[in-house]
Amino acid sequence: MTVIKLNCNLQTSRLNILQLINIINMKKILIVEDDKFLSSAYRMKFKKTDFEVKVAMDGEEALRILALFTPDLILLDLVMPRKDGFALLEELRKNEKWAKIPVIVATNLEQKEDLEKAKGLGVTDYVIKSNSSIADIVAKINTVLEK
Amino acid sequence: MPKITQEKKFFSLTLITMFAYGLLTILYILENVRTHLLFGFALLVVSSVGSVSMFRMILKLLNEVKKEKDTNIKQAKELEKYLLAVENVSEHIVITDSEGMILYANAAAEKITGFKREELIGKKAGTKELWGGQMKKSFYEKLWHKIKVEKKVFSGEVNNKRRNGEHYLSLATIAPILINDKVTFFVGIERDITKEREVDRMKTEFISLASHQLRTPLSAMKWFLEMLLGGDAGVLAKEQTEMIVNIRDSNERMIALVNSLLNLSRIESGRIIIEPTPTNVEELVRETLLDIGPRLKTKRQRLAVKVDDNIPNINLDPKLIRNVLINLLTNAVKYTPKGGKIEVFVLNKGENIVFQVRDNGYGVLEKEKDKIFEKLYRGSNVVKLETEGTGLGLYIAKSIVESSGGEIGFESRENKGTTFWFSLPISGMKAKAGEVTVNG
Repeated sequence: MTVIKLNCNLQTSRLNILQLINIINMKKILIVEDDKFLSSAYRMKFKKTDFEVKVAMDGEEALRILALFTPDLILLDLVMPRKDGFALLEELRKNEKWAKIPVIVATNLEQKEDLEKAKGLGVTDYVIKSNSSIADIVAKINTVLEK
Repeated sequence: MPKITQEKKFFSLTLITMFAYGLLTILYILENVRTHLLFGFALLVVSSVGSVSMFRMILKLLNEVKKEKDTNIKQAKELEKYLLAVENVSEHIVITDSEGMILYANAAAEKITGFKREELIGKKAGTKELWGGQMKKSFYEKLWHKIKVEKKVFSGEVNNKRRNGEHYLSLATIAPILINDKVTFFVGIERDITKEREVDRMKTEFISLASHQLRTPLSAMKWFLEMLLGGDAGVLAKEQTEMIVNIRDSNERMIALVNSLLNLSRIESGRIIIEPTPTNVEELVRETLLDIGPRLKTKRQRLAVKVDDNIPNINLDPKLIRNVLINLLTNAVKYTPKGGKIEVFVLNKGENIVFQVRDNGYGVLEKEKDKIFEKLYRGSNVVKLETEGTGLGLYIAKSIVESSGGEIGFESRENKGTTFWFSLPISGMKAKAGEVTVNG
């Protein structure tokens, strides 16, 4: 009985190590989205993926999270209270630590000027939420992270 | 008899009469008048005729003077009418000499610029001293060159400043007035379009806000339904799946409606961008058909495509033309029963290229043929069969085709089928600046 128990423990601890390695290798994503339903959809979708995800409700919260958590990618909404997506992008580009983090904009704004402004601030991709499935967004994230 | 000759005749008769009187007087003094009685009598006759003629001439002259006076009064009244019109229109009107010095300014010029007329007259129009000088120096140089050297009309938007320092935007037209091909005056007409621009800006903002606010909850619904159907929350029972598919489809319709309304407002406000690029028409058609594929499959409809070989690359906005094609194709699929046939043709007709989408579906009722392109109109024979549809697709397609310099039309027979066609000039679409493009 004792032997068997020991083996079980060994297996459990081996699994834990694998999980730990996985966690260390996990890609980190920061989602900035003010709409609670959309951010909840993101959370649920990303729970099923191998990403470590943090969600901020606006640009200010995103900056607080960024101080402690450097993501591999930022998924960013544009229209948000307090600090909007454009203002956050400008701050990211000014800061050496964050300047190179790829940003995918997921918004419902599609005026040419918004698109060009975002492109001018160096975003990697620009997605219109109502015209894309959440699976499309996950696929785009994977493509950017694989590069 | 011509008027002048008659007058000359009266004038000569008068001179003769005067000469005769003179001669008679001399004869009377120098000689015995009686010996010359006959001659005197003859002279008297001549002089009487002369007097009558003179009298007639005076009457005629008086008549002409009166006539001229009447004409002058009439002309003055006409002139007054034009002056009153120029004076009272809502546009700012200024007349200057050939150097731009103001000779006349109407009431609207005073009202818009805030300067009194006495402050304007004699000063140079379009300078900092008055309402102008707010644009770059090169702008005024170009303007001046156009109106003074090229002697052409300038038309464009100009930033100006009122007397109280307030900035305003005006739409200006400045025309040189030529006499013997020499610039003699300039007439400048300006309209204050500051408020119009403000309304435009507010409309743009509203569209932007509406597009964002309406789409956000629709996006959330879309994603949750997608996850539910994708099994993210576990396997669904058959009935549950059916219900959720219905909710998802309704949600997609709502998204399509919001997109159509946004497209419509963009097209109607003239803010749509036309960005022509050399396009392989066959590729564009085939790519568009790929999007229609799933719907065709659902309704088990057959598809045939025929594109003429000799179609060159055409300068068109692929996004806009794709939108037109999608509209016509989805209509064909929607309004053709299961198992029907859809055909797509692209024909080279010399000056034009013609796209045709033919189906063997329900067709358009004869009495409704002239209404089919109207905004929000849906054929009464298909409304009951196909609840899905906004009544905006054909209206948008027509707006796009016509703003691209093409034509759109159709032939249809009830329950036999419909052929929608649109043509585009082979020379291509003209580019147009704007703020937004259509979405799919």
